[in-house]
Amino acid sequence: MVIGDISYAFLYDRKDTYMYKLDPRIKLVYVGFTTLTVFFAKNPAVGVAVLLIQVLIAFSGGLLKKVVSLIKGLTPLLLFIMAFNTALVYLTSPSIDIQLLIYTFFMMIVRVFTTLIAFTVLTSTTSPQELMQAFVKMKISYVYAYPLIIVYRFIPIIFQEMNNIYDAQRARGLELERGSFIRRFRNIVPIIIPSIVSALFKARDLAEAMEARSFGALPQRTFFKEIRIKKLDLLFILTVILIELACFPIAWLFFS
Amino acid sequence: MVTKEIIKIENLWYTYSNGYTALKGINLKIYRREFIAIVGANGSGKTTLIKHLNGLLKPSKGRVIVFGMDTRTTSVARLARHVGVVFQNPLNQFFEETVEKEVAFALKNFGKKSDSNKISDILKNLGIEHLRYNSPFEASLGEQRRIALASVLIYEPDVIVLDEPTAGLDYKAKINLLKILKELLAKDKTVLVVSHDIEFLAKAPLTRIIVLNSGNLVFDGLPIEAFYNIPLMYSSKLIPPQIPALIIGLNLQKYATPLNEEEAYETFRFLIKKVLIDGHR
Repeated sequence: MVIGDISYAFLYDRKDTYMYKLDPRIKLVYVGFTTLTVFFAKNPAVGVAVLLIQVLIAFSGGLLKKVVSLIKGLTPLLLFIMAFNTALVYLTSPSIDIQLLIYTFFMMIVRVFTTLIAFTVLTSTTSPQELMQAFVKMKISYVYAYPLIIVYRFIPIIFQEMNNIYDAQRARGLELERGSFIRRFRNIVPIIIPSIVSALFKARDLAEAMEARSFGALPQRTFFKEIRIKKLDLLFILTVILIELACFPIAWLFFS
Repeated sequence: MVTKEIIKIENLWYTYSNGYTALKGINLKIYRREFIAIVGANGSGKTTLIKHLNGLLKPSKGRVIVFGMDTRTTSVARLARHVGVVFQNPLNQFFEETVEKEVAFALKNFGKKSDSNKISDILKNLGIEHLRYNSPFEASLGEQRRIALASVLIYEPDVIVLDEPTAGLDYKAKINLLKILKELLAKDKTVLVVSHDIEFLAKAPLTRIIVLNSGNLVFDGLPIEAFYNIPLMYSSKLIPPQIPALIIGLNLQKYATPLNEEEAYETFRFLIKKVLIDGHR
């Protein structure tokens, strides 16, 4: 259930914590800044500190369950990447510096988790509409912002559709778990083709429905609920930036 | 008419991974040659229930026995040989270039030989023989439904389950579907229909009707009993068929209980005759 866990973590659901009241632009800045911080961190202590800060932020927003789900879903993927990388490094240069390898993997885990927890905070507390409004306010034309949001909203629908397709084919005796590798691979065709067809039909229907409601008629558009940067937003972003920056000198003093 | 018990559902509970309990303690027995309708509002658990019949879903609690096999321990492929399910959206299954290949897909899966005559017979029977070498994607919705049905009928399962077979079909296509279902019953098959389409069901020669309401089985009995039970229909968010509603409105149910127009003509002919003769006396 790797995909299920990860998609649950990213999914938007309405709750009532301060995180939902924050301006989406502030949350975008937060994700960008945190990502940069963790990628510039060379000291593992800074990485761990920034990671812990993300867990605290998620906790303060009532998102701990999502973080657990994300970690559960990502662990097998990361293990796979590490195993693959180790094998590759070993094949190319058998004299591995174990310490360097451990350091690299450790930083990779820290960076991936930090970035994705911040991303989870963004996506699971920001509705697609808010996110689109944020893009539009950042001077990106809504004609381009909208498709991005639609892609994001379509992912769970496509997964659901693929599940239905899988069920329909299994009901006609398709078995994906049996047979040789080639046969299994060929058995994916009855799942993939209906999925693509249904996605294309959905896209066509959506395009028609949007054009029927005059999408793109005017270069500018208005929003029913306007987003505005409030004191809470500034307090949040300044606190995060200061604490994350403070990690560098503190780590340099105590863990260098 | 009713004979051997083929499917037994005992205290079936099913909870989805998001914590939603779709079925709450369903007990049900299905016998050979029955024609059963499963009705209920959206989200009452109809589709969840039929997905248990071929093992696509495994019970959270309780068990489902299909032809003596426990669905928890039997593969979907094995159960699907006995229970053919035709899903609502035919586009969810089409992937071959021609209708012929699409229909033969299940045969390949079950390791049977693709029999050209048999495919011909089934396509002819369903009135879609002219589409044989066309792409299934180009057919109309009614035709696509029939192609989907053909792709299940080809391997001759004992039980045929149809999920919302009439959604989006015009009147003529519905009558056509009814004819096909009657032929299946004549061939000793068991047919289950999941539907909202009460008027369609009122025309069908059902042996039993099952009403689900938010995961509970609230009624299991004869169609007449269900359709003439207005409180049951409304509490299950269903609208009673027009003819029973009319008969109840006129308070004539003690004289006759017709379900559809044909039965109603008989009833009214009888009642009018009676009134006229009584009136003369």
